[in-house]
Amino acid sequence: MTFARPGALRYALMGFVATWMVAQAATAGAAETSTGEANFTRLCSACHTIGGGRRVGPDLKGIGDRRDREWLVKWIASSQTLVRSGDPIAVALLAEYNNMPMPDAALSADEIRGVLEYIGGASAGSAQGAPAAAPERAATAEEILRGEELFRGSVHFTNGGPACSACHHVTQDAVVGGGVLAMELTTSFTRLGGPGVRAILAAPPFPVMAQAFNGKPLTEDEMIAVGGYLQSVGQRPESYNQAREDTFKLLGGGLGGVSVLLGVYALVWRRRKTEPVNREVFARQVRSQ
Amino acid sequence: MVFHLDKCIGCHTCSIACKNIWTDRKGAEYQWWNNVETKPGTGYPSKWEDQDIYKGGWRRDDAGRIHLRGAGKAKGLLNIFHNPSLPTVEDYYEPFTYNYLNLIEAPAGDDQPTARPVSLITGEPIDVKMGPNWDDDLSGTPDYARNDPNFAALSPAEREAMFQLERMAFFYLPRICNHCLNPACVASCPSGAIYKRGEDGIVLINQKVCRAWRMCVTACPYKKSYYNWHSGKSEKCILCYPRIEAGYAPACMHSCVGRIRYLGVVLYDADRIQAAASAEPGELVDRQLDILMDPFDDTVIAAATANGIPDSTIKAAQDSPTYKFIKQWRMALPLHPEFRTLPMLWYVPPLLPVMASVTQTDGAQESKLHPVAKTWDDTWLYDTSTEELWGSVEQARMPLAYLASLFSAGDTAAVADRLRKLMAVRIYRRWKTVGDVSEAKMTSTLQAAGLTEQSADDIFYLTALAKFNDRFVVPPAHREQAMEMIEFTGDVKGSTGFGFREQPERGL
Repeated sequence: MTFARPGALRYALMGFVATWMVAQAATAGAAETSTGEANFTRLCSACHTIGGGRRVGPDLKGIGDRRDREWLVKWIASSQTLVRSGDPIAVALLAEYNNMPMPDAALSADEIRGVLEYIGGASAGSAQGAPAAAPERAATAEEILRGEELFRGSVHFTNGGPACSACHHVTQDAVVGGGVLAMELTTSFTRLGGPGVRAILAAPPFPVMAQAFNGKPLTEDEMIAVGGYLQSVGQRPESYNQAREDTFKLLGGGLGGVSVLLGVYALVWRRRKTEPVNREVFARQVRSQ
Repeated sequence: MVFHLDKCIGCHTCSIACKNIWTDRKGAEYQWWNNVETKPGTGYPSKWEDQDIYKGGWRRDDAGRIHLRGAGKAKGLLNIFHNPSLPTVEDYYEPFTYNYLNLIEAPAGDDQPTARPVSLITGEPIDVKMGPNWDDDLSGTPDYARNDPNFAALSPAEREAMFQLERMAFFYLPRICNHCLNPACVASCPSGAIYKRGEDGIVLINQKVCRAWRMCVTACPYKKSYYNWHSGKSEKCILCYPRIEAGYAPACMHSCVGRIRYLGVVLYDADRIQAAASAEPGELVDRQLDILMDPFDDTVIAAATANGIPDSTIKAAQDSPTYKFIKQWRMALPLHPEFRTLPMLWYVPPLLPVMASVTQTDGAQESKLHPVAKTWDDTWLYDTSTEELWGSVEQARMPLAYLASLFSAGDTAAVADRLRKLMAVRIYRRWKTVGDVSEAKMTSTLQAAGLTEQSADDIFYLTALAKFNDRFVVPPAHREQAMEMIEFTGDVKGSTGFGFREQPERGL
């Protein structure tokens, strides 16, 4: 990825505050905890850290110093509106982060300011990772396999969450016909990294996914398993995940199978009646033109 | 049914009567439910008697049980989508008509207009390759007569002798569905569409149930089940059951010019059918005769009554001409009993002219001829005189082995027995009407044939003088009783007027 402008990285420390929550969830959340920290944890932390480094979106440490406050409020309220309006910073940001748009936050301007204040406060303090990001641990081969089963739905999540393949697809031979409602996840681990994937799994920022897993969170082991599985999917050689070029194999197999079948038929029905009993007589008969 | 082959003149009137009534339809043009074959010949369809080709009829295994040769459960399932032994339309013949309109509508030209043959299947002009009575048209040709499957029973010398010009002989063999007691077509049908009617034994194909698997076409060794390519159903001779139910003889029998056909009731013991069909090859005819019951026997009458056979039917069985020919006089034989279907069309075998011989003359007779009479230089004479009036049965031009191959599964004694009776009746009548046969000769011949003067008179009457009602004894059909076996007639009791056999789609 190249930057549109040399200074882009500096501006890019803006958040893809993930979410435009469904209205009920958002209002319910707002009613209970309107504090900036709660909103940040719920909506932003899946993709952003404060001093913890880049994840899906930029590290937000010191964002208040780098960006105009009103610009930030507009961006968080609806990043795509800003992009469409042609704002150069917004366009550059979108390009830098893989054209992955940041969901609109269903927050009022006051609540957004509350979040920004929390970020500002936290920036002064120690580095903070994603709240849900527990210590990383590589998934074992067994767990990867279990992750695949969880993804496909052949094994249920402990708390009753829906199988990933209901909405997501990955290009892997084991998964046939995953859903098309949400993102295709083959390269998700490569794009988001382990902490990003974990953060999304722990606290889904996307409204439909959040609703789907509302009250049915994944367990720690399941998150490791699914994360490990997604990692393994992304690491597979390209050819493995592509439709195989089996044209000639199929053609050969088909022709071979047909000739074997015809051979069997010829053997079983070798005594069949193949010609009229008087063919030899007919062959000698005189024909008109 | 009995066909008296000694009387058949090969006019094909029966075939035409049947064709005009039943098979003058699209898809049925090639079907001849009744056909007349010339023997020796390959028949219709070609070589139908050769079951190595067509795989029809039953086969007896070593344990004495019989199995369908080319159909049945396992073979039927294996071959259900590809029936490997079916006759093709070329084995029957491609039906055709002639473009007669061209004769009157052709534009003026240098040549006479012709009516070209046109296929009834494709509508295109064709070269006629064959017809349903090709043997009749080309009798004796090497391609047809000499390929008669029955010649397998004859030695090459006997075969060659039959085709010497001076010994050449043939006879006609009219064939319809035999309405067998052990029908292979019924046994082979995967759909269960074929059944033998309980009240009169007619074998029928239910056109609504038939699914055109064509197993019956393979299974029938007589090739009397035909596939209608237009309707997609198989069809066969129905013995004109609508006529029989009305008390008439079937059309082929009604129209028979030679009056060779007899129709009557024969009572039989259905419990012994399987045993009769599984008999040793030499005993097939006798076992089949055994299960035909004497309608005058009190125990038989009692058993028949107990089984619900109406008195009128028993009376018809007593008057039956067929019972007399088949069982009482034992003058008839079934066609190819070795197919083990127990055919119920029996044939009185043909008594053909005796063999003539070629002898050398001394020219003595020529001196008596008128001077203008044509004489030949050579001294050979075509001599038809024999010591006996008609010679003996063994001298008949048609070798006994050939007739035995057709009618008695190779048992020449059975054929000779029937022919002796025919001969005895002729000699008896010659003695009676012409008087140039000695009484001693007549008596000894009758005795040798196991006949009396009374029975010879009866045979003569039924052979030569029989009227319509003597030849066809059709009992009342009792359709109302037959119907009651299938439907509860109380359902419509009290309802009025004409009903519908099937509910109309709308209305009412």
